[in-house]
Amino acid sequence: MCGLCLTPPNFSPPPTTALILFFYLVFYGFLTALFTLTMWVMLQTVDPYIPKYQDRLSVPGMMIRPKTEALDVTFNVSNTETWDHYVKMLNEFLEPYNDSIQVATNDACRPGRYNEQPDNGVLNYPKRACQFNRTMLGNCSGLGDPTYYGYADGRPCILIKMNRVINFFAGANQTMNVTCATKKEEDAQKLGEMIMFPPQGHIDLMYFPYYGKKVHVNYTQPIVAVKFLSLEPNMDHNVECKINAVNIATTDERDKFAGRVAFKIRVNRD
Amino acid sequence: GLTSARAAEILARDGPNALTPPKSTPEIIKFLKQMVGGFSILLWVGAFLCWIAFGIQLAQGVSSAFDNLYLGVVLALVVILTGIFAYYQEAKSTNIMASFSKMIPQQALVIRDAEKKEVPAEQLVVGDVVEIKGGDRIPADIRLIFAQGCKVDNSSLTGESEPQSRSCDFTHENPLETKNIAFYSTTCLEAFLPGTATGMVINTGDHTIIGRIASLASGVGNEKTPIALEIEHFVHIVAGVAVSIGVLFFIIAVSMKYKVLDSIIFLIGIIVANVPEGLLATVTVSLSLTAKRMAKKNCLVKNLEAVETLGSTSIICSDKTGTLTQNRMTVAHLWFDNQIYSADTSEDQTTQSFDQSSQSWPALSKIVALCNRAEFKPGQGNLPIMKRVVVGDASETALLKFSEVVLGDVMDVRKRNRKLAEIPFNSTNKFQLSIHETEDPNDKRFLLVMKGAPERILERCSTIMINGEEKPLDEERAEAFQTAYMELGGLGERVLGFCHLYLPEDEFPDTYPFDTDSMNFPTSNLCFVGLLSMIDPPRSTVPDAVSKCRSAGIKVIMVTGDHPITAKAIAKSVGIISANSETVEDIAKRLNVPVEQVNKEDARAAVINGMELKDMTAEQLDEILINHSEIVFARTSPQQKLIIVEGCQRQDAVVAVTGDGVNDSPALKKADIGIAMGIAGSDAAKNAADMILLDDNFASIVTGVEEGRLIFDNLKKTIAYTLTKNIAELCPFLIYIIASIPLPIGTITILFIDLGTDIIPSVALAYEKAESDIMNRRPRHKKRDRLVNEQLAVYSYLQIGILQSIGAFLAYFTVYAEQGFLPYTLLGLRVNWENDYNNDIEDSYGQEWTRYQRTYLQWTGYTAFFVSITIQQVADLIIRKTRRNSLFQQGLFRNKVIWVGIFSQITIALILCYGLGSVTALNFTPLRVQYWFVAMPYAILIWVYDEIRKLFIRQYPGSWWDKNMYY
Repeated sequence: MCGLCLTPPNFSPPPTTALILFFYLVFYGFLTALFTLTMWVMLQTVDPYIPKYQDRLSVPGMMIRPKTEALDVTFNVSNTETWDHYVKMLNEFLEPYNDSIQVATNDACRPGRYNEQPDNGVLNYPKRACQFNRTMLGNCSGLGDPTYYGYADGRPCILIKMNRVINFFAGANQTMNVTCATKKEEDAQKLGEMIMFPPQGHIDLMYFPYYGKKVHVNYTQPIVAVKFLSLEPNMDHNVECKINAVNIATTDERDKFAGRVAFKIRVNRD
Repeated sequence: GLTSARAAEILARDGPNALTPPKSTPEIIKFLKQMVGGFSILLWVGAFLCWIAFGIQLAQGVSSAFDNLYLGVVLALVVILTGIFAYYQEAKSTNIMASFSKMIPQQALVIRDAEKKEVPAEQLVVGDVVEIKGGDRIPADIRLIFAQGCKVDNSSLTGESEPQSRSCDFTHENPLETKNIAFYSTTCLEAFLPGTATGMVINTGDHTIIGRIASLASGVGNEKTPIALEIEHFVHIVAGVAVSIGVLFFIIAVSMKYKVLDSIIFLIGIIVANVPEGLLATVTVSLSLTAKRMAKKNCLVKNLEAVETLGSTSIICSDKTGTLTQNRMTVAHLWFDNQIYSADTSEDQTTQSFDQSSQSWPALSKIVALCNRAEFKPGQGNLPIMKRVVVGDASETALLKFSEVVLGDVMDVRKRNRKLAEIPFNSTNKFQLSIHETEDPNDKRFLLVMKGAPERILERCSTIMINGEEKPLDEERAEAFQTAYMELGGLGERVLGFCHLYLPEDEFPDTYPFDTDSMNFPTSNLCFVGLLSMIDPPRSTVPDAVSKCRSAGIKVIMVTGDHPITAKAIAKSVGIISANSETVEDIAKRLNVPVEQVNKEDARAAVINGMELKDMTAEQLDEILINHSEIVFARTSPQQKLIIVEGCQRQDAVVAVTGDGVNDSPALKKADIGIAMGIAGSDAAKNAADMILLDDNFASIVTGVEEGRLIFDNLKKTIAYTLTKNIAELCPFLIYIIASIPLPIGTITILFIDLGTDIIPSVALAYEKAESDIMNRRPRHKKRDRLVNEQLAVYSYLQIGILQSIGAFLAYFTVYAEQGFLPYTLLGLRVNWENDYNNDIEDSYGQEWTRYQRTYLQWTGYTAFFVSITIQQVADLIIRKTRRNSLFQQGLFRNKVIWVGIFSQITIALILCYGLGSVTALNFTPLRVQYWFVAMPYAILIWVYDEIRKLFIRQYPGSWWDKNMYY
């Protein structure tokens, strides 16, 4: 009836509630500011180019590509869908290794020695990376390969990579290589022959040290490909690949991926 | 008597002559109760969830499945161990009691098969004829068929401290009043002449009067103690928070597309973080520490929780005899030469300082010393007079001790004034008389001395001694006597008159044969010498204790079986009725109007007679309890004591009741805290009580109250301290779920805080001194002043807890950042981080990490988070020392145990971090030294903030801040 009559709006809650809300607003505002400030101060002490501590990464880990759930590479040769995604993953992974890109951005370094690039007075001076050409992977490069890294004919390639660790001089100035074997020696027969690319699974010293994401922009991680030539089909093969390098221990009981990588491979044939 | 065969028959019918012990809960039930009480249920749920998760994960082949199994086992162990601990604590305090109730098997001399036989009292049956001699405990309810000089002490049954004489005469309808019945468990007194009695058993075992009272006591329900209610309330709050946050985040997790199994694991983490696992054990330890401290001050606590109950007591219903008074008659006043003298009634008197120069005094003192049959037991020469044991009744004992104090060796005086004849006191002539030679060798007269009921003595006198001279006893002097008699009687004292007569030498020569039966000597026309009045005087510490109670807001009500006049007199002298308070009757007398016309609200004090109480309705009693602040109940029966207690409890008061007799046990049980007397108390009273006063002294109750109040305050501090870090343990889980960062702190690590570093500090708070005079504030209100109130929870959870959390998170982020994972890289990292097969996760610098390298970093994060919480808990511990005062007022070093706590906290953290850092299962790693200091600024901030809080509370009492920030 009296739609226009203005009743005083009742928006003030009891003053104590309002005070409490206000108090917590101020209190938490202050805490947020304080936390932000202390975090900022803490981050100021952190070097953006190189982490303060690397004690946890004394032994670089190893991984395989294709990166699958549970490190299990199982596929059926005649069923394209079962290995299609592996191929896609490998293609994607190897994209930056294309020779054209490598030649365009990276140097051809002298093999057999570390590619050390001292700052020479300029702090965090950008570093150059050495070329790792896709073609070096030979039959596992997937270039012009009708067998799609061997997945189409049951002789699959697995890429093995070593984790990046800043300022780590892998191999301690000696040559190193990656070797693969079955976990149980008696199964070696069934695993059949393997072929490694680059030959003998060699990893060159020139790819080390790594200087970190910020200064070593185009760094290309060295990889080793292993191609299983005569896998016995329809059975699980437990394979372990490890790096043989003087300064990389591969015997850590707790870390099963320190300097080595274990995976399962199974080729099903109809 | 009965034949053995018949007795055996009746024994089979009625059962043994023993009280059925109250039904006790089986030990196993008690133990299981501890297993499911408090937080246990919640932890059991956590443990079972762990095992379910373990089962599922095991089936899925997840590598970390066993972590859940272990966690489940640990949780179960925590519950079981704390359960065992609580059970042990309870059993320990029950054991103290067991020693009290041990009774020597009693033998009874019974006539069976016409022969006197000793049989165990248990085998007595109705109809047996038993013989009792002085010093025996009556073995059953018996009707006397022969009695000689038999007196029984019924104090444990009726509260009457006077020995009751027993004979074969039926004198009263009421079995409690009649003289020919003696009751089970009362004692037949070892009188001067060994009294003997023979009686027939009329009731045995539970059918006896005592048995009926005992079953009345066990019928009274045992209510939960206030502290038990408080802890229950607190458990509800915490469990409520735990369950609601747990369920809320379970839902959030599920709707964030977490797997149900993961969500269950989160739920476990939230429960473990929220439940202060060690707190209930800490509370128990704190209470038992206080119990120990109280035992030192003569309060033996049977039930640990009673420690605090005493502190919240708002009404004490106290017995008179023995508790407020010394429980022995003592000469309080003398009247001679028309003048009243006051005697010293303190416990350790060695001299009497009233004016003893009058000539009448030697005469009076001689009568007091000679006309007395009481004697000290031999071999007590080096004990203080007041402590020596006397053979004789209460009045004679009082007189003996009095004369020993004023005259020196009374026995020597008696030897020098050899006694020739004596008539002991009896109830018909109401006097006692003896005839002596005098010690003066030149005086050959005999001295006849007499004492007795004053009016009877006066009747026998014709002269009165004034200043050593015999004066005729005229109207005026008789009037003066009456006035003095009334006055002393009005003080509630028992008055005795004394007179003497020197028998003329010519009529009573040396060899005169005095014969007490024919009374061949004069017993009238004696010379009245004086009056002595006796009272059971208050203990000297009691008035002070009563005034302390008063300032502490505790109402002291006297409940006694004694006469109203005596009760009122004692109440006045100890301050239960203060000097300027009047009862309705006093006002009526002063204004000279009938009692009905007095406005009841004008009277602060009230003396209620048991007879009046009998006719009162509950409402009338309530009215009295509300309207009068100073109340004395006199001539009350045991049942009435129970009614009074119930009346007080209707006013929401926490009632403490003291008692010693069997008759008190129902009231003791009904009371919030029953206090039995350790010395005078009967076993039944001790069994029914929650606490035993070892020295029977009311003043000890007051020190107990002080301790009880202190522990309540300190438990508040302990709980506030313990609850704070729960938030710092909970936040990691919440942030972990919401922001998907690597888990900042593990469940096992949380248990190490709750059950490791935090335990000793929280116990240490129990040693904190009071912040102000806790005896100057009102007792806490049972329903309003909670142990864990809103302010405490909010301040601990939402303020200090949050501060702690962000301090700990700072340390967490610092550890990760310095290892290569800058804060923003952590967000959303969880799924990959926890993937066992993902062994090349890239950090902020381009480096790649294996799963184990990450796990180790995660443990380092746990350790840093743990250390930060520990460091901030040190600050938390320090601020919790006070709730209102500044730390500088309280003193940092007064409570040394706090420093022991801090030291233990840091030592345990160091051991966990560096000593056990290599044990993988514990998830600790040796931490770099600097991470110990990351949270330090926050620790300092916690302290500064709390000082500011306290400053505002002190500066602006009653303000908004005070209301919301004071817990």
